[in-house]
Amino acid sequence: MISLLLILLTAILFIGVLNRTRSLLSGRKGPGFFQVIKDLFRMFRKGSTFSTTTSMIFQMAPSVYFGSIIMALLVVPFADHEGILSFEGDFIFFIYALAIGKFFMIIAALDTGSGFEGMGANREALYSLLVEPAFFVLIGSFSMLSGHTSFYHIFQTLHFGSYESYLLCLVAAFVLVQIGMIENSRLPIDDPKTHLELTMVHEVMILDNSGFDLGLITLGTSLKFAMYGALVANFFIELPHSWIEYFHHFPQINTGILILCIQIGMFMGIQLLWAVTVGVAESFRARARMNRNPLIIFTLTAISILIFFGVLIIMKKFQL
Amino acid sequence: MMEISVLLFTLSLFLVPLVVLVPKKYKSFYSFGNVVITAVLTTYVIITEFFKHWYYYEEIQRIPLLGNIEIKIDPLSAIFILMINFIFIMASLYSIGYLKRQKNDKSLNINFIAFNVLHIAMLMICMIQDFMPFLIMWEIMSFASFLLILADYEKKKTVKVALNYLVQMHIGVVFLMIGVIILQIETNDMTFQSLNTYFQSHANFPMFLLFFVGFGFKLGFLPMHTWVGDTYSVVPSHVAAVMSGVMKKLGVYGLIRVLIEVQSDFLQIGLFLLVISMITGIYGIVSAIMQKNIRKSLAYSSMENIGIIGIGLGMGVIGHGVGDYALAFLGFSGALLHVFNHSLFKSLLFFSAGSIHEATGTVNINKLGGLFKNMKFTGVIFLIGSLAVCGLPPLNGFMSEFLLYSGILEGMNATHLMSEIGLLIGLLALSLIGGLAIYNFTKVFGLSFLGTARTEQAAKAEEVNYFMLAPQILIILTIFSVGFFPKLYINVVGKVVSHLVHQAPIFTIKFFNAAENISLMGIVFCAVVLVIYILRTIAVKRNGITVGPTWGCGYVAPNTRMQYTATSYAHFFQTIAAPMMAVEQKYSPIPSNDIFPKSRSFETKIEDKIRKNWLEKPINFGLRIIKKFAFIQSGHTQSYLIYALMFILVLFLITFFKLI
Repeated sequence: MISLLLILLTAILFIGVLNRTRSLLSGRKGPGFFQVIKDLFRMFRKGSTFSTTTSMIFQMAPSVYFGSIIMALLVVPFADHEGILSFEGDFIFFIYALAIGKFFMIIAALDTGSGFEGMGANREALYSLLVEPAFFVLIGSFSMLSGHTSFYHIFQTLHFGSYESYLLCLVAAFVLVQIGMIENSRLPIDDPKTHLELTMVHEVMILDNSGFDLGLITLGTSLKFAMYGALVANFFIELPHSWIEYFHHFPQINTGILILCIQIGMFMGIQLLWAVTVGVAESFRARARMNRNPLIIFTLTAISILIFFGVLIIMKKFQL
Repeated sequence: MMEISVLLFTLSLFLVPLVVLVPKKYKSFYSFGNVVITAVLTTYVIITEFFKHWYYYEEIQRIPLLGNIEIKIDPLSAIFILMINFIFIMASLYSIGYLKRQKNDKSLNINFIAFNVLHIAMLMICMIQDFMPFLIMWEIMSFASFLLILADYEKKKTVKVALNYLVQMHIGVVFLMIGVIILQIETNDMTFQSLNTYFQSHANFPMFLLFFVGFGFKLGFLPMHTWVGDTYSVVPSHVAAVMSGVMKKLGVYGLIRVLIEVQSDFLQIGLFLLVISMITGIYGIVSAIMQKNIRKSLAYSSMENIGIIGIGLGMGVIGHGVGDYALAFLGFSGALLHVFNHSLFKSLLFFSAGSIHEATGTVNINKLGGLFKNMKFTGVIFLIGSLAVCGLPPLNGFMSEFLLYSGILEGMNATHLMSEIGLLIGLLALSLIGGLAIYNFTKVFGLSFLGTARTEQAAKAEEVNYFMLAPQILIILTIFSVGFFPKLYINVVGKVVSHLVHQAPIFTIKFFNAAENISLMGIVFCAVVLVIYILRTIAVKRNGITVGPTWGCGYVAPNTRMQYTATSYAHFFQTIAAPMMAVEQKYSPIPSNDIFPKSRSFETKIEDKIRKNWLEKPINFGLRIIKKFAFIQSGHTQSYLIYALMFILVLFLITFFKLI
């Protein structure tokens, strides 16, 4: 429950941070932190325009997309608190739930009958689907390390591991950040601020959506962004035992709430860092050439496989 | 009870050819009746006898009139029989509507007889416990399906494709026969038991390989897949549904029969299965993406699903070998459940493809588009089928893939390094295939049902009749039942597997919790989407709606041919898929000094590289050599007489000089 609330909170705030970072680094004043929220409210109140070509599917798709992200959010844990639903193998559900949303967004783009949107859908489909093996192998490796298959238990067990496993966590965080960037159509795969339809990916796919639907999609995308941030954060939110023991010296403080507050603080800090990192990375990074993108994505899978072997080494399984 | 059923079953054989006497209008009903009678008799036996004592039910019966063939139904046979019956009843019901406009009487007779014979042969394959009749039935099955492919025999292409199919099936049978002969020589036994005896005392891998190649031809494992694409593009849809839905799966049945008897070499066999399944699955889905013909795309997607099933089997064998029964269990039951799921959604998709063909006369995606407006039912059916085949929750495909994923993750806790690497291969393959399946089916559904019609036939399409819709709706209900009550099906599959590996079912409680949670999540998901959709509709209505043309990015005269096509959708992917598929482009380039270019044509053809390099090139080479000897066949009786004379002369000389 906490994770859901926190992600909702960070989602609407940190896109603003990201945009602010980008504009500051490029020497502009840029929009304010709350511009995103204002935009959202305006979109929710605006009228809609539908193409005569489109059918029911086009109108349903944004709701399904948003619903799928909500479902994925349900299984994301926060520190030592489970997600709303947690079961063995929930990360498989996590990916497949997101995939339903993708499926509907793609066919909705094809529903408009526009060549541009077909192109956008095609690219987005390919990029976000090619990245799935990387995520599976990454979480699969950690599930092997921890002996559990649910997000909550994986993250819990991870924190009682050795220092080597923290090294792996760093690499994993790098891969996760990249996956998050690709999934949310950001640099180097896609540039949300581009102005030419031919070079857009995600933006051109949702070209014909307007009003409330566009609001849903925008909100959904920023939720997704914060969700990946939360996954990265979960790798690192942990209080050293000495701290917890130290807290016990002060019986007048409610230790549980104190720990929770520190955890939320860490979470917010990591999310902030994540938003700033993405902003900085995007400011100093050129967009990759379109035909190099699959290579970049497969590289992530390769790094995940390295993590897999790293886990094998840590578990001392290299003995035939 | 069993005896009576067996007798009736035998008698129903004689009903089949009588379809010739039935008036044309009622032929399809008659055939449907036959299928139902056979299905009810076999299903009745299973339901009454089988579900009473689940675990080790085996009964031996002899079929009269056919020379006392032993038949035995064990749990594995039982679920295959139930599956065959279900799909056959649906296909037969569908064919009533589908074959209505078929004019050719002779073709119809053969079609119906072959269809019923195929059904009976497949049921027999599942019951027979002896290799000799098994191979005979296998042949009958291949031949009946060959006749069914020939339904459109006036077309030259159909005949070529059908012959190709027949030849390849026979090559498969040759491998099976070699295997059986070796078994007979070594163990002096021809029942399935001989496998066990043989495996105990000989090397396991070579014998497994023989059977794998034999069954692989039917399953379409790489490189035995070359018949798949063409065959499914010419067969009538109800036959395609049966062939892809259940007939191919009998290869899995055969493979499981062999795999459970294996006594050693587990790791080699398992790794071999995993690797070849990975290649098959990825190759299948890549080929499917490149296709512009819906049926071909579906056919190659079957190949992909065979890959997924193969991954499950490979996991099962490895688990069996290293003694990790959780892995063996989840692998085998995932594979079996996927067999069932695939038979549901693939037959559904082939039915819908048939409906598209019925309504528009084509299954070329580049000539369709905008069908959703006139064919709402077929559209929704195809959408549900696509979601299921992509393995998206809460539909049935996810359940079996979830079993496999759980198996892989469970198995990773084991200690053997090679098995870990095998499972990594499985994990990579499953996730990559899952992603690419979505890429493929968004293409097939989005471009043929959505957007604007690209041709006039597509614009004029009308919804098909109820005989064709009814079976599809029944299948969809079954798909939903698997998605929302997975525990029921997983239990049944688990019991079958526990009989196979002689272990009590060990689905852990956490696993059942997961299955329950997923169906719960499915319901929650539907509810969440519904709530959002209702809220959104209210808001959209309140805010006001404007209707206009699609935003053309500044271009004001877009036409229907500017939409994305299947070819352009696959074009980008082709850069990745280049090592596997080649696209041949035929066009005349525009010269630089051409100021007013005339209209010209552009044609693309997808070339299967493996088929070209491994099949067509050697065959053409062989043909060239053989043609060098063509002068011998002159056609004159005189020269043939001379050949005979020379032969006798040579024989005479050899015996004269006592050379032999």
